[in-house]
Amino acid sequence: MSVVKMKRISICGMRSERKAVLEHLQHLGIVQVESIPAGEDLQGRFSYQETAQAVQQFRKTADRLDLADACLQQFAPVKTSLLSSLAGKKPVTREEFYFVVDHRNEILADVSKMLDLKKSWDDDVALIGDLKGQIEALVPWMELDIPLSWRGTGHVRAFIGSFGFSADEAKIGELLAAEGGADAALPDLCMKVVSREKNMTALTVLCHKNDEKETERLLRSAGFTDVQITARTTPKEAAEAMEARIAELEEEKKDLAEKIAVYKSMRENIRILSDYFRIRSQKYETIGRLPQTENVFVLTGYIPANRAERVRDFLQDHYLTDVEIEDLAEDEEAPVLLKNNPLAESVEGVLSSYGLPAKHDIDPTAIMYWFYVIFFGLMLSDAAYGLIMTVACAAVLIAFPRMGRGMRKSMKMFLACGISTAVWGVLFGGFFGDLITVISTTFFGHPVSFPALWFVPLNDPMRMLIYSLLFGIIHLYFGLGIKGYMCLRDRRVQDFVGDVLSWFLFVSGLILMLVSSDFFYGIAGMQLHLPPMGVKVCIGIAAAGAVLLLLMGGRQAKNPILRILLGAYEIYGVTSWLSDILSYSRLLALGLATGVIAQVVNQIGTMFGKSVPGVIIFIIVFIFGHTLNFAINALGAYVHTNRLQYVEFFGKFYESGGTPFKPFFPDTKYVEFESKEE
Amino acid sequence: MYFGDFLNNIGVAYALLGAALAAGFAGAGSALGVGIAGQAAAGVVSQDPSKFARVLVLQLLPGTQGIYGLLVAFITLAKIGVLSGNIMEMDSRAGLMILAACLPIAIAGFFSGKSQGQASAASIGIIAKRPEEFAKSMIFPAMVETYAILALLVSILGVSLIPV
Repeated sequence: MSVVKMKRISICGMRSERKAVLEHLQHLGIVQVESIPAGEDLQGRFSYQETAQAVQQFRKTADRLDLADACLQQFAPVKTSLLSSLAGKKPVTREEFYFVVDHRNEILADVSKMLDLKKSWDDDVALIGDLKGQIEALVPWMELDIPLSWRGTGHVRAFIGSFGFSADEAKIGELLAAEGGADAALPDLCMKVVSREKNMTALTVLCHKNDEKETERLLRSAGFTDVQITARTTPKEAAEAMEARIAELEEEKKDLAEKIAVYKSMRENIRILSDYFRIRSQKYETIGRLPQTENVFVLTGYIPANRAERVRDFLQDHYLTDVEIEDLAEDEEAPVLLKNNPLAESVEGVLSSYGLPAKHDIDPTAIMYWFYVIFFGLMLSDAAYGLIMTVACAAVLIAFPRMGRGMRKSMKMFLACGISTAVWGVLFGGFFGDLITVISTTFFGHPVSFPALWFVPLNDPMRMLIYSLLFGIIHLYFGLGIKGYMCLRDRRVQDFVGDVLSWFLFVSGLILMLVSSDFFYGIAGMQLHLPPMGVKVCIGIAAAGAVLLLLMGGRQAKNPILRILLGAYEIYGVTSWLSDILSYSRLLALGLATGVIAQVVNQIGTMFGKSVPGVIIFIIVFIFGHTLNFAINALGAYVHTNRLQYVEFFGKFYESGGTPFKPFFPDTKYVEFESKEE
Repeated sequence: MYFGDFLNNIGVAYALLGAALAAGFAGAGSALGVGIAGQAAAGVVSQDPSKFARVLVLQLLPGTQGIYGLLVAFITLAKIGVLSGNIMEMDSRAGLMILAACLPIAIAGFFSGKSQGQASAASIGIIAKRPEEFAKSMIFPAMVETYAILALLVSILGVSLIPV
């Protein structure tokens, strides 16, 4: 349960060994390299190497290799299951990796060839689409037995085109007559409609050469447009020629696809090489941030304290370097790396998505873990759902030992949540809701129940509510306790008394007063019986807390009256405690929701009674209903467990705002090195 | 049957009305909410299909009110014996009490479902721009749900503790 202590590492080495030292650090992956602000302590004697271009070049190559990989996936797909994304990166030894790297020129040449083939394939696809579009455009003209580009004979002028509406010859004749005006004589025209659609009329218009100008004017003003397709053959022949070309291209595509698929044996090499260039670009990026002179370079950064000495000794033994390890300055915000025990580390993701601990925070992961798991289980609380979760998570964890770290942690978290769900299910008597009772009653005639080890919340919601709120109070007290610990650790006794002790007293006193009152008995049907003296003690505790709040709540104010007023306002903060505690009633609500919906599913399933179709319907309803119920309620449990941690628990003590530790390491996409030697 | 007897025996109908309101209004609120969030989700997926799983989770968040309504309706139906087939005799006083107990989840379920849908839609906007902030984006809609939960609590306690 802690944030890893960081130290500053400063390395000064020979420029000739710069790459070797950097490669070593990158391989270790435990140093976060810091840029030194230009001008600071460098006194103009240092300069930076311009590496942007090299970085760009390496990235481009890596992208090109990714493209090649995607291309292979398209033409020679490897089956990937839904779960394969969990499998993690493929392990390689350094020998394998550098064997591939040594052959990079041949591989890149092959990749170029392959991508050229892919380009031809893409061109073919585009061409086919184009041709299909052209054929589509020819469809209205299919009946025409002259080429579309025909413009007439020596004496006849032909217009081939269309109107943007549907009409027959007579209608168009009228239209043209109207355009020409009442007195003008219409030229002799021979019109033939080729085809009609809803918003288009394709037609040919023939006229004598002498009437060409007048005809064209009339046609244009009526909205005639020339056909845009040029074809020296009749539309039908043109379409047939295009179909033939498409068939040809399809053949070519098939041929190209086969040629590309031949490269599938290169897939692994392409991936390794892509990662090689990726790592190299990262290295050059870092090089660009290192100040250097003609002969030496300087590197400074953060390193976990427990690894620092070994790295220093190794570097000084193997390279001509001077390595210094220093403690951080008092006010320095170090990057945050969490280190927790194997159980608790599984909820680190939950913590970091809220925010990493700031400098003065302590890492609450270990405490949060237990509450997280318990609350999740309480909200889902069904033995069968819990077992399914447990088995599924365990199976995934065993099947994919190389899963990514973050994913692995989440899986471990859900495994624990599954176990907790099963345990609460047993305590509350839920196994697919009331499945056992329902099946035994409907299909076997005598009811057998899955007894609750503790009690059934649905039968006694008030009791469950009180326990929910009790769990909430414990959770909140832990939060306040952590704050108290932090105050004492930093020797802020005033804060401890004013912000922590006062609340403990005030809230505890109020709660004790409430649970020992008759009023509480009226609600809950139970009561804490205290002797009269005890009640007075409770009142005394609450009053002491209130007085502390009144006096200390506004302690930053100098003015005594203002201070008291601020203190009084602080007491008003008890409302936030009330809402925080009541918020835990969601433990009851979500727990009941799971159980009741499961019961509804079972009820619907058994509606058709003890018969063959009845059993079939039951099985179908069972599978669908419980899958849905599990999905929705597991989601609800997850969201609301997070909320209880983030809002209620963290609200009591946690500041957050730390920046994550980002070590310089080989950030690969496909493969990772098998072992890390130092 | 005298009118007085009639009034004395329709209690179970009031209770059934309560169950109907609980399931109906809370369900309608969820339907609105999930619909609003769904539109936003579809917009994000049209740009980036890889975010499907995350926006789906957010879209589902306003769906719980409908479940809470169903929960209260179910408890009510069980209490008045509709589920077991032996519908109980109930005077109108008891029936109206159960109807009243059903109202919190009906009202709060409807409005919080819709509002939670709007909060979810906004959170889906977070996923569109900053997909790494998934955990935080879930918290905003969950805040709205608190009030549905409080209403649910009152309804459950009311329905199950009212003597009939």
